[in-house]
Amino acid sequence: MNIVLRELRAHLRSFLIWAGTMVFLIFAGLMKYSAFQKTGEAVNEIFDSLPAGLQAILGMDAEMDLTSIGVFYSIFFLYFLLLMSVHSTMLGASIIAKEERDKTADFLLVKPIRRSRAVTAKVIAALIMIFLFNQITFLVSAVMVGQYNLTGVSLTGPIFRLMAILSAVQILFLGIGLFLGAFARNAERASGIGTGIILGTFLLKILIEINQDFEGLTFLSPFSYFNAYEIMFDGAIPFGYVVLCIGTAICGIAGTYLVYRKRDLRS
Amino acid sequence: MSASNVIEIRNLTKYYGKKSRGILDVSFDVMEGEIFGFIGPNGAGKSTTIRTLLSLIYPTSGSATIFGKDCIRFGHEIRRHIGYLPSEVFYYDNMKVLDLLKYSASFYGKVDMKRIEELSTIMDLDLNRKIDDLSYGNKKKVGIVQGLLHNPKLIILDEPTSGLDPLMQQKFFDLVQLENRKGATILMSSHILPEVQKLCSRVAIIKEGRIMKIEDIRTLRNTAYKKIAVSAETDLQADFAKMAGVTNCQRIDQEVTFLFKGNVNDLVQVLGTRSLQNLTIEEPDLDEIFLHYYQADA
Repeated sequence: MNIVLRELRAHLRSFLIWAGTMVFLIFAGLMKYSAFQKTGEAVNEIFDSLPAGLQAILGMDAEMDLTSIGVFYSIFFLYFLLLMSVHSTMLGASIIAKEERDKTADFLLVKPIRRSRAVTAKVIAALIMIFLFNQITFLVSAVMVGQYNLTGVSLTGPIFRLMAILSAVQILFLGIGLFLGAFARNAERASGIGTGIILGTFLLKILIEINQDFEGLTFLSPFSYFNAYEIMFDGAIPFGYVVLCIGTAICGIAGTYLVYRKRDLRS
Repeated sequence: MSASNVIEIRNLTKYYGKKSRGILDVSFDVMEGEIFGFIGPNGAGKSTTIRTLLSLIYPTSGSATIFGKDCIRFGHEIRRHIGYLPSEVFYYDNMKVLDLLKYSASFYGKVDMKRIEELSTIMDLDLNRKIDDLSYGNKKKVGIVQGLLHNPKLIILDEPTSGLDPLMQQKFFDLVQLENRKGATILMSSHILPEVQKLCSRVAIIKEGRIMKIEDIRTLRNTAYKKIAVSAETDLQADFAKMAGVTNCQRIDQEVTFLFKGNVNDLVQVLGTRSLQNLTIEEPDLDEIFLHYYQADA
């Protein structure tokens, strides 16, 4: 418990920066919506004329009615995915690797605890932080979207479903980050590899969207697992991919324990 | 294990990767209640040995027991009774000294504020400062206090005095001796012979990963070499080179230096018959002593 509290306190500042960035993203995004709302149908025509690749990068597709607040908000999903995957990976990697980077491993791991207990505490602390990050995103979204929503049909339920899906992706990337932190022996290298994975899987998503031939690789890119519009408005949740996310995360976390338990710690 | 050994190290070998040597076939025991010195130049393998004992790193082969238990398998149980001061102290920077000490104490059960205050008073440590504002020496003090906080039965000190001024060193030695009198066993590494001579009852000498010698400090002192330098108008090299007990006799300009082992009266007699400009007699540094061990082995 003492390690969990210590980790939460140590990450407070960076967490606030991440949360602030998220709030700003939602705020700024919805500001754009108010302009779209006023412009009306012309907006859809502009975005329809964009090339497919660019639409994929922006996270939209041709039939979307961007003047509807719900549809507009669903585009945020891709940005949430990016922000949260980076946050989770970095958090996972640094929470393990920083003890050696800051040379505090010689403090923490000469205490009368097993290494696995230190890892467990760090996993718990990281899970708490990604959950809070998710909930802040949810609350700010629900309140802000409510302000712009003039249809009388609440969007809180659909937003909540979206957040539930996001949490599966967060856990996935946390698992990857933790494993990298334990495996790479070096905080910089761990976050380097992590960034590479995020960038690579994101580019794969774009590739899949502009070229149908790559559809068979969908399972490799967490960014193409879920369709925000379908989750929000059709209630369609692809449980297979949720299971894949959680399963990969469990493998990553199990690997973290295995690697970290048997490893020499750098002084 | 023999009832009186706190640490037993058997053929401990550690390679980093395939080629990089850490320690080779290290074996020695530390008896209950003694202050054991572990001495060798930088890079000899002192920290490697100590970090293996604490299971921060894992041995390539060989084993070690502390309190009769394997130091890897029962590491977490053993460490409850170990206080450790690393050679370089690093702590969570944005913490206050007091918070760090409380955090450290929280791993051993109840936080004993009296003990924190008592130790920091002895070491003259300001509890309210932030760790990142502390000088190297002050960080070292934090390390000392947090290492002794839980009244450990075994205290492991890796180069404890580096960064401490002489006054603090003395206070620290007093503190270590006090803990020792209260029953703690102490293993202390150093590359400075006099400080080991001052505190320890026995020493192990390590060089390039191997234990060269394990010796009672009194024996070491009796076999101790003196490093002599004399300057004179005339060339004295020939006079000393042939004397019994003289080794490494060298002459640079007017100064003749050599190591002397034996009855100092013999040396003083010879010196007394010469006209000298200058004379210094000092403790040889560790490398020079090792040089001797090497020559003895060859």
